[in-house]
Amino acid sequence: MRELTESEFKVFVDAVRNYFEPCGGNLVVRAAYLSATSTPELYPYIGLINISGAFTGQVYLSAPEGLLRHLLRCYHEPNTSEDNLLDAIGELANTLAGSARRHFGAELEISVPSVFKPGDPAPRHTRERAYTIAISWCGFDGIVVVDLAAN
Amino acid sequence: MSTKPIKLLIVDDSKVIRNRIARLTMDPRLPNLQIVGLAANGLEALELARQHKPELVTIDLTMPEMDGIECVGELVSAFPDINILVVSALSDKSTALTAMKRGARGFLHKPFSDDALVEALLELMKD
Repeated sequence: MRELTESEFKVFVDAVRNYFEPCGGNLVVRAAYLSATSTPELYPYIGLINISGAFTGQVYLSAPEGLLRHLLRCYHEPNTSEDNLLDAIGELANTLAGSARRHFGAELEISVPSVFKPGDPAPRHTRERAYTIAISWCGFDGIVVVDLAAN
Repeated sequence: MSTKPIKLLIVDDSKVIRNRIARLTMDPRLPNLQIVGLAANGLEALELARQHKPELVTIDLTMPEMDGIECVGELVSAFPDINILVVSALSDKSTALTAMKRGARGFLHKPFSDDALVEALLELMKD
């Protein structure tokens, strides 16, 4: 197993940009870095995709309720129940991971999303340190965690 | 004189996306579409397709129970004239080619804009 290269990590940064920029509003990728600790500070909602094939690990997005409510409004979805917030973050994680296959190809096998609601235990990481992308979209912060190693 | 509506089945494991696509079918650029079912996986889609015989399907690929690729093959086998638009985050070429080989007639990548979905449906209905 080896670490992701910088260009492989950038694929996920680009996937984040590709997702949010068409939604409109101001997207800022505040930082993209290898975290110093095993678990970065997380927001209450998480959408997680397990990865297998050419890579092993997981990719997940962690976001506050406000970001997800705003995303639902962008989709003209009037129902902002917790079920729909979880649905939205699962779909977002699925789309980010799926977009990465444009670069990695079908060898990047992705699962259906798992979702974590407030109070659920945080995901357990595969690696000691994870790549983290801190974003701000329309004034709402969130993070994407890329906990992957190449096989 | 009113035209007969085109029967549409929407298949995606995300309720938010199913509802979004359903809302977009009201776009005035589109012909009269009648949503005959909303399915969360391939098995539900096949059941609804047997009941309602849709002419048009939008389908995700990454779904539990039965994934979209397998479902496309089953739908085309049962209804050879069906028009299927894949709407998926899986953005690699081989996945798109596999879906087209199974019988899908269009492929729209997620994330998609409202206009992109409407245009993809219009393109599909030219056939």
